[in-house]
Amino acid sequence: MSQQEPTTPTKHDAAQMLAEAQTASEKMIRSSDSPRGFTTCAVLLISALTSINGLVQDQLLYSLFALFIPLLIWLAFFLRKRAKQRPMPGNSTAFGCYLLVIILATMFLRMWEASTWLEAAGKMVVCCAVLGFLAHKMRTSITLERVEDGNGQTR
Amino acid sequence: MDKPAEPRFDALIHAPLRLRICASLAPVQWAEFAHLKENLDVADSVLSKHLKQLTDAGYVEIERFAKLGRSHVRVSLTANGRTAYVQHVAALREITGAR
Repeated sequence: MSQQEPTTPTKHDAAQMLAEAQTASEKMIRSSDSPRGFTTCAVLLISALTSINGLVQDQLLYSLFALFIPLLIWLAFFLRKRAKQRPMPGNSTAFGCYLLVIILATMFLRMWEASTWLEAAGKMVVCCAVLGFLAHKMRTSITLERVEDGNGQTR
Repeated sequence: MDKPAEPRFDALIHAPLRLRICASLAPVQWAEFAHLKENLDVADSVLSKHLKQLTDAGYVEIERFAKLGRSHVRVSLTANGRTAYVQHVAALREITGAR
């Protein structure tokens, strides 16, 4: 029971306990967040839509866009049994910045209109790299902020 | 911006698994028992035993309910539990000199 527990851990023990707590919090946040596969599929889909825009008929673009529906249904099913995240209390600066950069990057990439399939393939690689990197950074920043929020906020 | 929590060492939370339970519950509003068990990688009985100790201390709340014919168990930190956990983390940070 609590009376039998050690009361004053050493500096090394305290650091180890803090690291364990951090790992447990991060694990819970990652497992409650949208799966990595969802992010990958969303990035691939957005990249494909941005790359082949202008090369194919609008109907094909709409059909590809409709793939977001099964993707979102999958996400809803996945998150059904996961933990409910706490709402972020303040504005997340890093998350907001990455989101803004993603929107700007998508807008700039839309200006580059591919005229051949080879160019479209190149554009898709660039889109995947840029959006994938930004999405990864966005997820990492929000995870860190949630851990900090969980370990620092009493409400 | 809230002021930093007052450091207060809590012997009940300090046990490794109980600290991990609180750390897992801190960033979420609630978690299902099965999800928590999966994250901590422990047996049902072990998790139940530690959750009972935290519940008896008023740190954790366990809610049982049925949805679509299936029973669910939701675990969450109470306001007292959250405060105790945050203060315990602050105490650990103070020991390490990270504050």
